[in-house]
Amino acid sequence: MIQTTIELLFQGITLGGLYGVIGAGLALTFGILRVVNLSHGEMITIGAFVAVGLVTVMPALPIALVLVGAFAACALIGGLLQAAFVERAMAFRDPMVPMLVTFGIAVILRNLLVETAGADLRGLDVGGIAQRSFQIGGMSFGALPLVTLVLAVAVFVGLSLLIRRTAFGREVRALSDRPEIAALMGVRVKHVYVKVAALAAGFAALAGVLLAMRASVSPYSGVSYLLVAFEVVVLGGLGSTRGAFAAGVLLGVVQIVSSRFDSNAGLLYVHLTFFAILIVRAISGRLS
Amino acid sequence: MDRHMNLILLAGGFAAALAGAFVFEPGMLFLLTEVMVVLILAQMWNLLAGFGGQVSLGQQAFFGLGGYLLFLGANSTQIPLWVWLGVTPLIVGLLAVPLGLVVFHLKNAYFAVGMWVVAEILAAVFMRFDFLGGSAGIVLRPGGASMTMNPERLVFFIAAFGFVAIIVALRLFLKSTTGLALLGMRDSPDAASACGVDVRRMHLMVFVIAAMGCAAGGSLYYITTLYISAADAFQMNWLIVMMFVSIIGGLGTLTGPIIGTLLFIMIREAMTSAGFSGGTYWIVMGALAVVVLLLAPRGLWPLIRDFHFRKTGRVTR
Amino acid sequence: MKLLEIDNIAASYGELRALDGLSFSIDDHETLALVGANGAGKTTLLRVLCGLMTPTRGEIRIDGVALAPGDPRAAANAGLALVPEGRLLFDSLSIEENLLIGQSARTGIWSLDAIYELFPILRDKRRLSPAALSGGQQQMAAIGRALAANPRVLLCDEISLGLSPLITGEVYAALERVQAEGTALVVVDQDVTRAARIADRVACMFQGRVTFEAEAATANAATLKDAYFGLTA
Repeated sequence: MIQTTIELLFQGITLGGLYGVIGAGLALTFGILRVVNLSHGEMITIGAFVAVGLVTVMPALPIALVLVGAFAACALIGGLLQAAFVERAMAFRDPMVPMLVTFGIAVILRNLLVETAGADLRGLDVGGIAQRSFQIGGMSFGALPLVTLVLAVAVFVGLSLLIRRTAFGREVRALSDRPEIAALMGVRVKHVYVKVAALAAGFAALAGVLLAMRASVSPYSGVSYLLVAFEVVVLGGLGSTRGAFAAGVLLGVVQIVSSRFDSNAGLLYVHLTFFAILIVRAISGRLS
Repeated sequence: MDRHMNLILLAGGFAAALAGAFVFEPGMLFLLTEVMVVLILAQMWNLLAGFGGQVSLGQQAFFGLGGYLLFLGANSTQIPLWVWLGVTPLIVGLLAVPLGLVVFHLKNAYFAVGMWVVAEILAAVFMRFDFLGGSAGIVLRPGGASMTMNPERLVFFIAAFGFVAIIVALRLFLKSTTGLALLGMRDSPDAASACGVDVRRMHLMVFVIAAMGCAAGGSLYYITTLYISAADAFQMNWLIVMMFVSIIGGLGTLTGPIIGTLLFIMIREAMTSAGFSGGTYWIVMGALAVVVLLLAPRGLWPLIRDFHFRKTGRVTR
Repeated sequence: MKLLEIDNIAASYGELRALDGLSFSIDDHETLALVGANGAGKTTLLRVLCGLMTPTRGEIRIDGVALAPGDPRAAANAGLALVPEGRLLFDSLSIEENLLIGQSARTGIWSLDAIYELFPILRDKRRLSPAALSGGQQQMAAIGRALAANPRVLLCDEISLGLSPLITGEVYAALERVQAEGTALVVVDQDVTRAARIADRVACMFQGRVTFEAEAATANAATLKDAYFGLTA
């Protein structure tokens, strides 16, 4: 019983780490660019499909290179979309315009993926690592979840160092505080925005690859993941990487535990958990 | 002048809806009913976002709820289907009140996506529980028996006349004190609240009306299909349609969403008959929406109107 | 050739015209005290100068070269730096990081060490958030941040607002040392006499124009007051 609980928790935490990574990308664009990027979910699925494509063409490719490939592809797409469209939309005073533009972009990307890759569910088969597992005290831990967790932690630590310790991070924080004054000080605002958008898309791609290894993805999966990312951001608080990680873990554990008892509920209990916390916060006045 | 216009609209709409219901054959009526439903949905999203300043990405929740409550109510009771058609929007409106009180704690983009989560929850709930239809969905069997009549003529009449009535009601509303307060609130919430406008109550009122309108649209649409499933009723595409149509036509105008809807249906029918896939169609609509947002964020109708104004010196609404 | 030339600049907020065909110029090494009542357009002028606002007409030239309008980065690279009203430091950055952000534009004599020498207190507080500093220290950090860009013209908006007389004295003493390094200054301050004391020239704005200009040494208090209240047309 205790062993089952620990195994479930372990799975929940690894999945939650991925949710945290997705949320961190969304929080990054919202915190810095002040844009709720509704095409974030599509970056997750595109990342997964790039990985599927890479593995199909080069079955021997090590998983690390698959991750690098997916990251690079989505970072490129995310950066280009920012430079070509979202940047223009941000010039409007109404913050809803860039959000609606990213929504339009999401619809386009999703259907482009359907047209090119088909609407079917795809799994990502990376060979040996998916089956390997460790036995500790009679409990079994998969190697893949462990890799996932390590990667999630690495993303969080890396992001935190990047933002707190580097010149780029300094510019990012300055822009987030006072974009106008940062521009006045000679910060290349648009360059920073494009880099941030690329980074967020790259993180989404990493998460997408790992999610595709756990379960299959279809072009329509992006919508669900976007909502999970959004819930992570709202629950964890903006600009708090630790909060995002904690919220991700909470939702991940809820999903794993609930699917154990109710296998065809999908994300129902995850969404309900989010909404319940929202109601509690609304009543206790900790929102708005 | 304006009052006459409203009466002419109502009378004309009644006559046209009645004539249409008798003249067209069922296949055409089905398409036209869908047009009317999209018009109603677009006008509701427009009321919420364009006039009320609340962008919601979860209006498909009310659309699906409208369809489901009608089917569940009519199938499990002896109350006639057409009574349920009137009652369903009222029930959804009542449900929208407590929901609004919760989601209004989320602001702007958070509100928009929070509503989307609500729609996803409803979809999952209806999908999950068999007494709500489950993944198989529900067939419309009023009072437990199969439908004995073909509903499309009556449904088209109700939808068409209902749409005209909604337009007239919105025209009257926007001229009223409350309507003017709403416009003031959209342009400057702080100033409006300083002038004594109860912003929260106004938001809630618009939210509830939009919920009722979307529910009515869902009820009407699914009577014509006679079958409802959660995957269809709560799908994103309903939201995408009402949103794109409003944005492309012109948010915050009554004419804009109508133009957007006509464009939407025309492009879809043209592309379908030319053999393009559904995916390609959505790519085109998405691109159109993005281009309009970036180049003419007020939408197409204000462009046409301004052009007309410059040529004739007259203002058209 | 003048260092900074402002030629027939107009700017408006919607219907409201804030600057109405305004012209003046500043020489190298010169300090200008810019005075005027609230709403005269002083802050708007500074915003236009450093590219935060696009003028509806007119031109700004530095060393005779026209500046791209509405481009804050171009203004910073050309040597204009602003100490904004209300300091507007970056709260998520430490004091030292605030200064480092200032360095994005130009290089020159104002290294971190030079700034710490000018304001020794900032060296002690360099790891703290701006929120932990007093108003005077924040003003010093804001001046330091602007100096880090090694400007040719330092624009100071409401430099003594909310500061005690003692701190105001320290701030002005620092500005005198900036002058001594050869940087031109434009100082906006409600305390007209205090600003005039440091200045070579005084310009008074009224309803979006410069209505009065004089050598600071010869500026007569009474004429200045008339210009301030718009009594000289």
